Amino acid sequence: MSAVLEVQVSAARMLSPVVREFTLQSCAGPLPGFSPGSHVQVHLPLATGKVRNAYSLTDDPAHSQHYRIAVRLQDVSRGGSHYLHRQVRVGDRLQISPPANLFALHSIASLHILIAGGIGITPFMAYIAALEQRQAHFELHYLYRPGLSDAYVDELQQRLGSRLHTYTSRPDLGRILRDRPLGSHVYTCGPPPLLDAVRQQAAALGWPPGRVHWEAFNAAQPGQAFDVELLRSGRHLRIGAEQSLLEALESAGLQIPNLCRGGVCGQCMTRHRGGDIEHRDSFLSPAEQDGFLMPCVSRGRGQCVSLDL
Amino acid sequence: MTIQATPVQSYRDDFSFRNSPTAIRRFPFPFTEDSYLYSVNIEPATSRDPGSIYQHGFDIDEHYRSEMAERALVLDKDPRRYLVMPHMQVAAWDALQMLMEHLAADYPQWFSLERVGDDWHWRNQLLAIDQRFVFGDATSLPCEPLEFIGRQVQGDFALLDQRDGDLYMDAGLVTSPADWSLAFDAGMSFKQWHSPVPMAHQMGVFDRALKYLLNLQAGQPVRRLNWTLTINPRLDSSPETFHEWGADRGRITAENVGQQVHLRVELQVMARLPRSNAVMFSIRTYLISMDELVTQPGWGCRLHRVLRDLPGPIADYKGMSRYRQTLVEWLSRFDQA
Amino acid sequence: MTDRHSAAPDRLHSLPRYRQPLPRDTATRHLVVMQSAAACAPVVGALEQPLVLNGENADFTPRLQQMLGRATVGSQLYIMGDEAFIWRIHGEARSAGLEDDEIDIIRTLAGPRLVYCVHCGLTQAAGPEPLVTCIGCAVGLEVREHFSRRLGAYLGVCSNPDQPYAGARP
Repeated sequence: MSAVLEVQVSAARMLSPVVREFTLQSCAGPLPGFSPGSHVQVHLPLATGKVRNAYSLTDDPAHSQHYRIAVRLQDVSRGGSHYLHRQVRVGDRLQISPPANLFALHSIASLHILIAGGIGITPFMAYIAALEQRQAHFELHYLYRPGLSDAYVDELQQRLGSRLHTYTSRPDLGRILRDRPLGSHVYTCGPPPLLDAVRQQAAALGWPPGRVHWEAFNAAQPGQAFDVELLRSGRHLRIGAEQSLLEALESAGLQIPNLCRGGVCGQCMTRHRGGDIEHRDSFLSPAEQDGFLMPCVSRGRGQCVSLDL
Repeated sequence: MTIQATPVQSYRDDFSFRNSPTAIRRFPFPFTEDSYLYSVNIEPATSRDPGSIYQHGFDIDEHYRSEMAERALVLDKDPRRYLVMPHMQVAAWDALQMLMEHLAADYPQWFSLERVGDDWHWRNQLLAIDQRFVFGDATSLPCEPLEFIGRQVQGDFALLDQRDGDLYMDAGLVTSPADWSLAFDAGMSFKQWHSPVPMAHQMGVFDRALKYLLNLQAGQPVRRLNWTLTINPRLDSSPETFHEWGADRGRITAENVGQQVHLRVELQVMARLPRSNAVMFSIRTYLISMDELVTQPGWGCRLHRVLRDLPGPIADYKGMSRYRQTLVEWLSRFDQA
Repeated sequence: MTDRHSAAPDRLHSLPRYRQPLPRDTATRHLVVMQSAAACAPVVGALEQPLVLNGENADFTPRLQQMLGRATVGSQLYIMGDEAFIWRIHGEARSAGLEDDEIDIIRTLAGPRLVYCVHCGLTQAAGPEPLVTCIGCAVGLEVREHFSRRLGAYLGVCSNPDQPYAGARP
């Protein structure tokens, strides 16, 4: 959380009209090793304030001389992906957080079933390198829009052969998940509707929850500007429409534990003492939301929100 | 610091182990208060106090050669003290890398590591080891990676697999345990292997500790101290050999307390291993006799109070019941109150 | 990320908890392995089309291997019998890929339990008594309240280090 890595963009290429891949090299000292499924937070100095977005590392974890991330241009966003697509050039420097992993491979799975939707392919690029090294059994199901969100498909076809299954419309998840060997695990990454569908289908087929792993690419979305009162220090902050509450708190000098920036991992859980709160996270139960919120994605609605900070 | 050369001191038989005045001064006396109660007591493992055990991530001290000789004895006699489950190979290499990098950086006078891609060259001058190998290829080493490096670093190592929201003890090299068995505990989850610890479960200590460890981030290791007592400077106080040393606890008298009773402190360091996402749990043991301990101002008094007031179940668990009274009486003269 | 669920109570302590389970509605296949007809637990009657194996059958071993080899994710295994039997089957089930959560253990018969002698490494059958003499190294063992699911055995440690070989038997 506290350490920051300085990296330089050593290469950039378009994988599709909306997906841009960056190769990042260290400016000082070797890059830390990472486990497959890890992500880094890229610090983006937007005009509206500092924003941090999380991107999966796509490269082979066995070699960490450089990191690779692939960024999809988002239509509705606070500008992070626009910045990376339009403003960042080869040679530019960026600040990133060290890798963290919220989507790790299961070490004793007999079969790894990977289901990717669009840009959700990114963590699986690291997965397959590691799985091949471990000589593990796996299959990759890749749902994409040809010519748009089909990053890496040629490379995957060459590397994986019959272990790759491609789809241009939602596959029959029941067929993928039915009658799989004991010890199988399923991992899915992509748009929320795909994730929900995989989880529902798995549950309907009797898959224990512990065998179903998912990573959502959530990020903070813009909203109304609102006020915040920090009860312990008595400070008042004004959170802009384009800024997340977490980013505002960080700009104000507070250190809040965080990993995913997307309302999923639970790290930034903060106690609130009231106010009109719009909960946008996927971590807290309704009961918990009475007392806590996730500042990385959740917001106030205009009136003052009081935080126990 | 001077590392003892020959002859190495022994942690068995004649127990020739002794601490120099330097070692006594840097001994990690663990009690900050007059009474002891469980807490998670974890702190970031950052470098502090040059010359202390906290300066480097993995501490090498004057006993290095003695301890490595003792480790070799234990392993050669009982291979059950080393275990790496098949799925822990990546973690074992992670551990080898972490240890080699730290030792080469912190003690360049004794250790060096040169790398060109996966071709590594490791040198350990203290043990006259000069090894070229291919990182990730166990056939290029004389033995498996965890054993190879473990025979060159002081302290025990357990590698914990993180899965299913828990930690599993799926690999380790444990030759100096304070009464626990890797062979038996292998495969257990965090709370399962801590089962025998009295009172802590009800206090929620393990819930908090587990949650903390699951969120360990690479590059941000943490540490804590653990303590118990041992009769004689016996590093291998394992259940495996308990039938050989257990009787020592019944032979403590007012005359031999000072020489035979030892405070045993473990510096436990927990670090996230980068490629495997496993957790490395290193247990570095320091021993000091009562005679040596009481030379330090305040230690005898504090230890007296801690041991006098220790709850029964904890005292039993730490194995001191048979000699506790003798020891407390012996320490009482260092307590003015 | 996986769905948040609290740690199963079994994991709080190493000792096994045997209980009469409710049939798992979520499972799509129920597999029952009983040591003998006498070991059958009431829950079997409530299961939908279970696959049942009886340890008394002559071809039990190959049929067990076949059942585990053909089973798919979504299966729930119910093991019924004495403690030693339960953990023998549990070990095979784990090797076949089942997790603890997918295995229900129901102790319906009295019988020996297994003890691991920490001194020589031998796992041996023993009764419920707290003391047993190791048949491998002759050390008198105290059977501790600490259990390894992997070994299916309780920890046995020298009960009297002053006289380690005095033996438990009179």
